[in-house]
Amino acid sequence: MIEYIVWTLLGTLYGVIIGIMPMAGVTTGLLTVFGLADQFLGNPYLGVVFMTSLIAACSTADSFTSILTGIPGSNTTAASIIDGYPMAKKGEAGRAIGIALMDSTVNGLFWGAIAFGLMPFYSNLIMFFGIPEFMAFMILSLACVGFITTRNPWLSIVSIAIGIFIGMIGQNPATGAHRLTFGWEYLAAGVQMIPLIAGLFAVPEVLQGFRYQHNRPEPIRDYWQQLRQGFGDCWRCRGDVARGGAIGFFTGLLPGVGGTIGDIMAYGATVARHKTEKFGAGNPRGLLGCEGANNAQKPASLIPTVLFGIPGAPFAAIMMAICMYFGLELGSPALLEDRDFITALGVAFIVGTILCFVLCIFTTRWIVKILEIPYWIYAAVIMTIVIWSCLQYSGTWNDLYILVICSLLGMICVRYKISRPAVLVAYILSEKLENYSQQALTLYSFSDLLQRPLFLTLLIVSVLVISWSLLRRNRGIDFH
Amino acid sequence: MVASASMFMTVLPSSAWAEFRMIVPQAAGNGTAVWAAIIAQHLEKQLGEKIVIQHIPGAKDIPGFNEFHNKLRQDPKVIMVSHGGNGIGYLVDKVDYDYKHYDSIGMMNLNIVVGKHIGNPADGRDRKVRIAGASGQETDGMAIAMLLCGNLPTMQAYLDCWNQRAVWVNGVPGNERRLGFMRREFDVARESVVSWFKYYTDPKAAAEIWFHHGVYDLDRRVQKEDPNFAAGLRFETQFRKLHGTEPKGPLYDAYTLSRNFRDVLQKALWVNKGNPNTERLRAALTKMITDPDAAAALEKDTGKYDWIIGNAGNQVVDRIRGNITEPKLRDMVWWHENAYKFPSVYKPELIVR
Repeated sequence: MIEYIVWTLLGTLYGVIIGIMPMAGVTTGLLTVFGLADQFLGNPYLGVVFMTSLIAACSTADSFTSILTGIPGSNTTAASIIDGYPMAKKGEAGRAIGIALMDSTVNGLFWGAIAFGLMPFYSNLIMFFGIPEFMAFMILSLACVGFITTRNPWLSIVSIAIGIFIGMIGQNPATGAHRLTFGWEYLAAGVQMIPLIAGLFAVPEVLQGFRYQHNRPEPIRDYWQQLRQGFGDCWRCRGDVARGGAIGFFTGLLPGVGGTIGDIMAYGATVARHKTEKFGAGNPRGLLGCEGANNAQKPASLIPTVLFGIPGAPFAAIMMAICMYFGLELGSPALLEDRDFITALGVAFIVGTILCFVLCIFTTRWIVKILEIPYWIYAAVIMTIVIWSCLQYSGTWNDLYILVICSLLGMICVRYKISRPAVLVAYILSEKLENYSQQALTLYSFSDLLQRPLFLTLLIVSVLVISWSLLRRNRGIDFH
Repeated sequence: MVASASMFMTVLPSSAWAEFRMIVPQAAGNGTAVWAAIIAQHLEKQLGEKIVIQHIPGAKDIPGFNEFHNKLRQDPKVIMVSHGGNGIGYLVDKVDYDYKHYDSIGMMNLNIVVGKHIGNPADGRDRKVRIAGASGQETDGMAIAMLLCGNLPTMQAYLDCWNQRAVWVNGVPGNERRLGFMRREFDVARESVVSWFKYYTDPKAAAEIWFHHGVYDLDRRVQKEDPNFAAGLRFETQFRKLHGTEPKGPLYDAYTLSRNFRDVLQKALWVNKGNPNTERLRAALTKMITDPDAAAALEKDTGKYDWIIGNAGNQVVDRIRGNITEPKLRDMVWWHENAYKFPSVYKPELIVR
């Protein structure tokens, strides 16, 4: 028991530190855990507890950087800058932190309890999904992540095609024959997830951090008074808090879509709801409308991940890979019935959220001093740990070559607004989609498929998602 | 990034590789990789030296073993970990490795279980038996073909019967295979012994053992009952019950060859022949298996099975290599290519004359 408490505390503390580092969010935090994965081989549940408390704490703490410096703590807190940073510049940094803390904690606890508390009941859902339904669900997942997160439909197609291409590298699952390896034997086992995620997300974000002028964090004055004021704002605008959390939660359920889209959509909904108010110049309502979305999205993204083995967001993909390393296969019926696993997940998220709240109330004023460290030092530390994590695969130069190639791809995606979440989800689903299609076509005739209502419904919803995304007039912004 | 990478790459060979290195041909988290991690953790206590695991994954887990054979085996501190899939690969794939060049440190002679739904005759008469196939399950497919078809005179006759009464669906990973079985999309569940007890003894799975392959009796050179199961579930016994005769014929011969190489070599540790650390490693492994912690961890991972340690392992390999005859090997390759559509290679040089 003590071990669990210790690892929850460590996960929370580590999550707070990673969260506060500019441009390093949950995804980067979990990437660095991969290098420690051996520590948990004896008791994988400790690893689950550590990772989950890290996720809970990081999702709260990453807002502080956005608020105090105007540099995103991670790509999921970009919306918090719009009103949070001007608040800090106006001398209301403490109030903004109070809003971020309370909003994140309340939404994290509420939606976390719903997601994890009901997870054993969701597990029955999986038995309604046969091979054709899984295939259709994957098509729907690709439609969601590809067409909702990108403005240009051609780029949606490009991102999905890139992901599928990378996922096909390795061996033909049906025959075991090599394909698309270009004579490089290292690729015979396929492109590994950790270097791909590091290259797509961590490296470009660390490099992007250099583009931001390193602002000294805004000073925090009258901390306790302002903190209380922030808490009061959350109560006063509880409808905005609840809306933000709900939007975060439901976008988190869409495979691969969670994260950035949730907080931007929540911010947009708040602005639309209060048309007479001015936003963007330090309106507390703007901050509290979006701040909790990030925390509600995290447990929601874990639902399709645990249930179907389809990651709801990039961080969930890494968690899936690390769990696989521990021998815990997300998406398997045995794991869904493993009460210890579900308990570890739920309790660590709830306890991590509470611990983070308490820890941050008393230490934020000092922890944010981290932000005075020059950016290149963070960048070097993060890159070192990311490289170490990538080397865990084979420990050879090949791991680094593939990291460099994936990093170049990540930077190209950023430059040309190709959806990186779509690339990642398509990569992950590629092999499964190929397997399920092959299995469905071997086992079922066309007329069999037409008699499966869930299969047909999922296909129709996929078509509707694609049509809606192609036809909508205001296509919003790109989430790449 | 370049600086960090260079730092790691210069530090790794000089420090980490100074200790024993265990080459695992799979990525971490896979069955044999988990087994190797347990062995390394307990063996290093007896050895008094650190064992570092190096994963060299690749298609059908062949590249790691090839790398050991071609580059790493001359290093006296390199131990190779192999599994039953490598044994099958040795027979039907283009590989560089060859067991005759290695000394066995120890091996576990294991078993595989094949289950079906309770009450389902799984005879392929009502509708085709749906089998989730993948690399490593070829031996199970051969046994199923014989149960479905009985004794037939030619491989072509078996293939015709197989195509009539079974559907082999390629590329189904373990998790999907289990889910598919529980939803009754597949009729057959094939598992290691530990996984069988973990996933299929729950009444919700509605599963029963159809047959298991038994354990190879090293002295009598036949399959014997598995102490983990009640008697009477071995393949040969089930065949006799169903068809009233002993299994025989070309497919059965190919099956026995396949079964030997997969199950006897299911989990094995090797070093190069003449490695000066061989006896030290064997002594450490002998001590390790009497350590209650190690024994409990291994039993949890693989079930209750005996180890074959030292020269006995070399003798076992010689014995099963001696079973490679021209018709058995040719028929096994033919079956892989035609029944499963797996690209395979017939290698006459493996035949011991």
